[in-house]
Amino acid sequence: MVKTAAPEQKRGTGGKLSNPDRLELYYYMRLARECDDAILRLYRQGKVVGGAYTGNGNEATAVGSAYALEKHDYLFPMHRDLGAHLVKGQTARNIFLQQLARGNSLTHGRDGTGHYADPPLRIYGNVSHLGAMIPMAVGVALAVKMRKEDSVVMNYIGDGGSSVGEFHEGLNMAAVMQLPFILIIENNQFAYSTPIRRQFAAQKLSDRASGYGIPGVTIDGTSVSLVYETCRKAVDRARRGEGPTLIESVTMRMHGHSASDDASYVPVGMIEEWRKKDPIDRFEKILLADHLLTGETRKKIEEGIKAEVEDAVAFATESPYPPGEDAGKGVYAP
Amino acid sequence: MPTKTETRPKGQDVQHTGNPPTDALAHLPANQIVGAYTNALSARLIDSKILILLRQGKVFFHIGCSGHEVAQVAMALAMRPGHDWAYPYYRDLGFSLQFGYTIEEIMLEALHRRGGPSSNGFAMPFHYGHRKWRIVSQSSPTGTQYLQALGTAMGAAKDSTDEVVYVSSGEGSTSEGEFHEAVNWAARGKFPVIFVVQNNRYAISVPVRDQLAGESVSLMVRGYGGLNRYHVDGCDFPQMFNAAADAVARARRGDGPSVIEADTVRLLAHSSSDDQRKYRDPRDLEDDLKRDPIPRLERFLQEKGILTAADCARIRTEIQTRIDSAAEWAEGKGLPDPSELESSVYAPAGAVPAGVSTEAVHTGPSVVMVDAINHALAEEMALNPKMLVYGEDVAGKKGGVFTATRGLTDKFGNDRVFNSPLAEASIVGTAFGLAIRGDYKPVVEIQFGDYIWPAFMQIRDEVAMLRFRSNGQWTCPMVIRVAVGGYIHGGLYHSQSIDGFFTHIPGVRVVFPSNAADAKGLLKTACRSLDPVMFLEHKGLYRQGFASSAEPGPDFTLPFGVAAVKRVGEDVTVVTWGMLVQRSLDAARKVEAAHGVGVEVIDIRTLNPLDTQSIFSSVRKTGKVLIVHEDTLTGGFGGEIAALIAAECFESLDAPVGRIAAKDTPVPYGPGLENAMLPQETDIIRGLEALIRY
Repeated sequence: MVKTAAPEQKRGTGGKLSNPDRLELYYYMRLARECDDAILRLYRQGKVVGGAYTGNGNEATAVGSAYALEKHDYLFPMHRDLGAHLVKGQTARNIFLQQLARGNSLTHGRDGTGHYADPPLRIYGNVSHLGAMIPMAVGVALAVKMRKEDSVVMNYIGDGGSSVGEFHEGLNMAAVMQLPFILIIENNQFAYSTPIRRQFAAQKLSDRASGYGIPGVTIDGTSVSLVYETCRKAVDRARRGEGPTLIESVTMRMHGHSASDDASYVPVGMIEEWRKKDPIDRFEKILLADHLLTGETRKKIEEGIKAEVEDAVAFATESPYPPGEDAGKGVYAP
Repeated sequence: MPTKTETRPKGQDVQHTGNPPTDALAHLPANQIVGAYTNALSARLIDSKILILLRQGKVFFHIGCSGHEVAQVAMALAMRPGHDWAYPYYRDLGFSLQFGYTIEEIMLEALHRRGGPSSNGFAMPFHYGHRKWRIVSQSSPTGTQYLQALGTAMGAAKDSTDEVVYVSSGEGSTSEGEFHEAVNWAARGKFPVIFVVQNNRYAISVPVRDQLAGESVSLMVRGYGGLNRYHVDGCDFPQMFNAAADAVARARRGDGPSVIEADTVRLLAHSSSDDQRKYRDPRDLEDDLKRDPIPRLERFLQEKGILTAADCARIRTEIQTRIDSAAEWAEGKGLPDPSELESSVYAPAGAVPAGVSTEAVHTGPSVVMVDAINHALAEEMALNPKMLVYGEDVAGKKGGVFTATRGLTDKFGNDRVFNSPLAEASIVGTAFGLAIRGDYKPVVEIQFGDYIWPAFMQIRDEVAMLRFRSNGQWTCPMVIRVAVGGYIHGGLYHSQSIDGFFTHIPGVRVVFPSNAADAKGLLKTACRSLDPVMFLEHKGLYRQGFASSAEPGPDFTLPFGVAAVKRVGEDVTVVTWGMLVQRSLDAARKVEAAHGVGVEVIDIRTLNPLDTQSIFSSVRKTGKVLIVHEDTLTGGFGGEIAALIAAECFESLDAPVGRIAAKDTPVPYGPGLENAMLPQETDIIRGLEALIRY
């Protein structure tokens, strides 16, 4: 079951999820959570060099959306989308090399967390100031259109990112030029400590779409199949040349903004209430009821994931830090 | 045009197309309508006059309002000049005349003469500003005015006034991100601001179909919630006036912001530097002429029996005579004096308010720098009820991501300490709008220096220039607190040094404390300064033991431009600031012990103003100097200090001026890389040893 290479096979034939597809979604969500948990453990051991940010609660959105992409599509994820990286073909080893800032990581230790690009996998972006990614991703969509490729560009921001000017600039331009662009707003109720009621007055952030003359939809971001189906429609539409879509996926950020944030500003009981909608538990129940998953296969998947993450952590921990003399390299073309 | 009103679910957002439901014009005295007509016609005739003066080489720049003037006077007629506030854009001549500008004042500015109300000849003409009428000084980068207007409206709401704020633009600048930021925050807070977008279908040469997805601004701003949206024919005086009156009434009674999209025609090219025949179809230009709003307004006045055709002709002749004599009069006025240039950038020396004590009263218990900052904010807020603290995550239980604002919301309430949306341009843009009111003192936080760049436009083109461009008519004293610097494994986007950028900008003070006591004293001075201050706080110093101090008392303030000699020495000088003060002191001790030479360490504390005298007298004494800073070498502020020393102390120098700074790369994440990129104690020792050996 362990997959570490970019997907070759078309998933979700005809827009529908097959049973193997559903098992794969389950696997990726659990793998993402296991990686996140391991990152937090490493952080507490002082092994993660800087901050640690998890996607706990966001797995259905990250995995379900990226699952709608093909190999030749472009991904501009944010820092709660580890699952999307994995679905797009990123290896757990590379994830942990980045977290531990090792010399053989994708950025050679120059940056950490999910801040890297992997052009062969068409994974781009993730800078800290998320809104700044939108015009860049729109630029890639413009290149796709000019080159008459049939790729699409999927970009993610949080609810806070919708307040920056670049959100408007990027969406307007994508709409004016009818570009193959999908923007997913992961509305997880908080931008660091700022609750959404202090961020915007709109009922739904997807309402913004109508102003640009593009489709917009708000969905339950804890249902992986709903996220997949919604994103698949948007991807198909973009691929047909019918332009961008705005998707607001409503979730909850189950941890603090980062490992150094105690989230004491989150109202009492809110986390517990959302835990009842844990995206992995929800999907697992459905798979068990459908007899796709049994106690035995679940255990096998668990063991496989555990081994995969242990291998990645060990590999990263044993890898060397970049040498100091490499500082200064990589600023300009060689 | 029929009236259509579409109400969104929960009745939050209202769209009016055509005539709004109320006919306010019916209640307006005829003489006021004639006054508005006179101003619209004046604006039209001034356009023609300026184009003649331009061809005569007397005026250097013109940007016209022809085709927009009727919509503009209708809008201004619905407001109360001098009570309400206005941010008119460069095409708003008609608005400005109706709001209080005289033809003579327009001519003074067009001919860049002394005494014009907006700028004394410093700014380009048609960049309006008039203190008496609350027309706020305008700049050229259209789009920046939205957030400023929002800030002024926030002040109006906080003061529980019924003031309304007008802000205008063409349709082109609604593509700027700041438009979105302003509309979002205005809707979120229900602030009394009216966005008037004069849609003439061309942004210089770019047609509206290349600008807006729906080709309509009022439709584009669906989806914010709580907006009143109007789409009117801006060439139709009654329709425009009724929409304006409706929006003003709503804003006045607290019913929130409005967006009015007024369809206008642009009868002239974008500006005197543009020829629109190059990109517009002749038929398109003819169609615009058919919609000319001036003859249409004249027909309306005649149909209503307010004026006859003969009255209109007489008024036209009278205006033309007044314009011609105003131009002649203005030409006779003096030109601004170049000697005034440099004295107009900052508040006059000695203008800091009384009550400043420079005496250190370090009596309190030891305090870390972030707590000293917190206490300085609390003390200043208690002193000044108009001081506000806001930014991302500063409010409530979070109290800032570094806890610098912890407890302030509990002490002073959410009206004075509050979270902004996640948008840095919004933070600085609204601070501008609050500060120009004259009493509010925004002390805002930018969470990381790495994220300040969306606000760079507001700081560089607006905040820093306001005093100068308005010849001191308008100022926006504010404090922008920014967490900066590396050495914390923050990677490329949580580690940047930004002092090199901001010291390059005339008009903002730059402060960079190295310890708790200085931070408290300097921040308290910043909170009382009449100039905008960039207050840079090194996040690596916030909780450092070596940066903590016995806490100075509440009356302690430190003046800007006074360096601290942290260590006295006779043989070599180190000039430094921020995080590198302590590293320089540690290096100095080691070098003294190893080589038996005396190292003097100077902490400049403020980069602008810079205490050059302390630096020069030390260098004249030691003859050797090493400048040490965390920012990258190229373009870092150390280059400026080195040049000053070379110019002023050349005869005293016994060695080339040395500089230790970061490598010219982004700040990397991996610990070995970060240590190699940022200056370390060993680098300073190496630099000192090289100077000693020289």
